[in-house]
Amino acid sequence: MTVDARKSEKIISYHGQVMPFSNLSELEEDAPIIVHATFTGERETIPSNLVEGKVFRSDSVVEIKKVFEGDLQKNDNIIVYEPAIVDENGAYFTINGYSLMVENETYTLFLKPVKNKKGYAIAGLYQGKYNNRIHENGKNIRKNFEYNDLSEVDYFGDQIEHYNQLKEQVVKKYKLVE
Amino acid sequence: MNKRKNITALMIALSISLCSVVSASGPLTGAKAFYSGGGFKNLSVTQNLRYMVAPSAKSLFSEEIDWAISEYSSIDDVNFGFEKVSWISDRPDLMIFNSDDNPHLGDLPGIMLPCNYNSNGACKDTSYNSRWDASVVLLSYDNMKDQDFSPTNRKKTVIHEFGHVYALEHQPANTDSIMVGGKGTLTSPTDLDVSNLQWKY
Repeated sequence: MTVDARKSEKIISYHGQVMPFSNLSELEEDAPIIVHATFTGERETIPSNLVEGKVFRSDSVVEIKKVFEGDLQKNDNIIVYEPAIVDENGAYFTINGYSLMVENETYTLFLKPVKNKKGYAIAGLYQGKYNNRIHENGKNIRKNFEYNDLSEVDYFGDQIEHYNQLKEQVVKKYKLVE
Repeated sequence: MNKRKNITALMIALSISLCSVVSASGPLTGAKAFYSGGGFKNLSVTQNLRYMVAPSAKSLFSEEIDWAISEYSSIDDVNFGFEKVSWISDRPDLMIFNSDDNPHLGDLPGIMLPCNYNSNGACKDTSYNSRWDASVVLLSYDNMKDQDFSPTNRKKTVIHEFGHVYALEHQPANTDSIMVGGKGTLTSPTDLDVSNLQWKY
């Protein structure tokens, strides 16, 4: 495939090895912060700088709506590091099928503080973020997937069954579906 | 966290790809063992793969990297070779870093990303399913430590990521291959891996 051909590839996904949480308890153990939070729409897109070993990410500001665990307060605004970006050409780069948060949507987030950083990482990469509005679980990716479709998708990697199992437990405990 | 440590045997690869998804069927062989349409633009670079190890990775993963180079160099009938370079300006075919400045990649022990150099010297991310100039391997010592990786597990991770450098795709779980994702203890390419590499190279 040539570089020109790549431009037509709307979603480019990379895969890293992630330890899967076998149940909600494991996810909770890994995440000292558990909240409901709404994405404000404020987002800094940070492209890769691979010759320095830095991988693309989005620094997204969320407003805390409810705290289940951790020392955050309601109405706090915090930065969440998301493993995906939309680049200047509209291509969607993601790791392990992570789907970026959508403005004004509320999520149940399982977060971890990051050493020497002011923001928070999502526990287990894709395993610590659940859209409160999307009742359906993640869908598999389609070849004709477009960026706008992703607002209706919680997760689009190939571990759908595993994600669904976690989400079912999250929904039950954290009243995900409002 | 303790429970997580106890389920290491159940670790599976969480891999996704737009054009190829690991199926639950048997081992992948021939073209199916590789990223569809992916790999170095010029396959002959693998005969003298110019690689650079960043200082942070050098201090933490030298043994594992040297092991992987030795293992791939000794595969018959593929003529894999390596040349160490010291500078990014040399435009290495392979760059290896310790992933210590990627706050969003907590929990990831390793990942390979392909890229293409531009005129500014940057290397822009490209798809696994395209041809690329270079591969970037990120290894996270901290994440491995958090997940209780043994030296053998670290070796397996490095040799697995090198497999991706050669465009090898993940193999299904329970396959005898270094390309099965997860913690694992295989530290040498298996007969399956070798035959696949010989098929392509």
